[in-house]
Amino acid sequence: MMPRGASLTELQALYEREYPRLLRLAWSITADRAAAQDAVQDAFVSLIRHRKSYRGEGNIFSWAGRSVAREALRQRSRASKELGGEMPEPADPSSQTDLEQLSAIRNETRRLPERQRHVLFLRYFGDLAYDEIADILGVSVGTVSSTIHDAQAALKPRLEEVHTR
Amino acid sequence: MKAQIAADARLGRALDQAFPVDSSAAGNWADVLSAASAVKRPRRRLGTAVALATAAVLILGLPALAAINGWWFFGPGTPTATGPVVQVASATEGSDVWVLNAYSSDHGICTVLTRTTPSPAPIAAEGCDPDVHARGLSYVQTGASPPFVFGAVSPNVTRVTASLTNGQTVSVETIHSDSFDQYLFYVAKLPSGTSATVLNAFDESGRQVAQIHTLEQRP
Repeated sequence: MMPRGASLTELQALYEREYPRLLRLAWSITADRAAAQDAVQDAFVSLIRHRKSYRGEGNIFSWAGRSVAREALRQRSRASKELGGEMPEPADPSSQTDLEQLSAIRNETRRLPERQRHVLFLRYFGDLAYDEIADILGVSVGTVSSTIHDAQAALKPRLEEVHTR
Repeated sequence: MKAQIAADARLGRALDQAFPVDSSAAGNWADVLSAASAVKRPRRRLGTAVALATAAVLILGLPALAAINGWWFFGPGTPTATGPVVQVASATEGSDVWVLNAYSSDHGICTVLTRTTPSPAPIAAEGCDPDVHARGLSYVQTGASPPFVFGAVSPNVTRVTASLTNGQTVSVETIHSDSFDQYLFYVAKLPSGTSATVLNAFDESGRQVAQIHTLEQRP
């Protein structure tokens, strides 16, 4: 199947619409806002240059998310900062959840091994499938599956608390 | 495969709330376009005798630049000059001072823009292109505000126009230097927040002799 390609207009609309979500994805990996901003910019530079290769399969956010994740991991490999100290704090919790609970989840997530955190963030912030995550991290799909399972198991007690309140 | 994934919606919701999106965050599309239109600096490879048909771009903050032989753009891994560095143009607009230099090198003709404006930040950019005569023009585009596009052109080019992302077109006359018989030069200051998407070169009769789409991927 020939790639349908993505137009500059599409990319601009995607960038402007999804910038906050893509920044969060990058930030969750780089643990640094400036590095995350660089990652998003570098990712879109790459997307512009390779826009003709966009196949039009799946959602375009995930296509951009893969590129942002790769750039964020590249940025991350240059630094050694702890996760998320500067990421925005929860401010507007739902009726099911209060700030204390969200802080607990946040702290619990920070304590996860780096690979578990990255897999979680790629899955939930990047909306990426297991095979896409495996490709980005250079691991098998089975490893992604078991890593997510381990992370879910580690966070389960906190999630139960949130759910039952 | 997405179909294989039974997403844990509860975990996703919890993480979404625990690490909320900064909805006020906004990127700068013009900067992205500018960066996309800049071309990566060619890396030297030992034993490579084939000239790289790719323009080289380097954009750096001046405070970080180390002057070697009096020029910031010479150092390890940079093109080797095969002729003198010549100032081909300069301008002062209020506090905005810029200088365009050029020199022949083992990577072709190099053009260097150095801007010493203190605010928002000084910039310096360099591009080298061994293939100007085949393409008609070379270009370097800076992402700073205001952005610049500049380069070398074939000697028959008298005017260069830049089509911008905001729909406008900027037109500049080419610049002659007694030190270069085979090249003319151009430099255009662009409106802030824009970048050039297409560069056209015209000869004296108004005939278009070269065109470059700056966003096209180079080989």
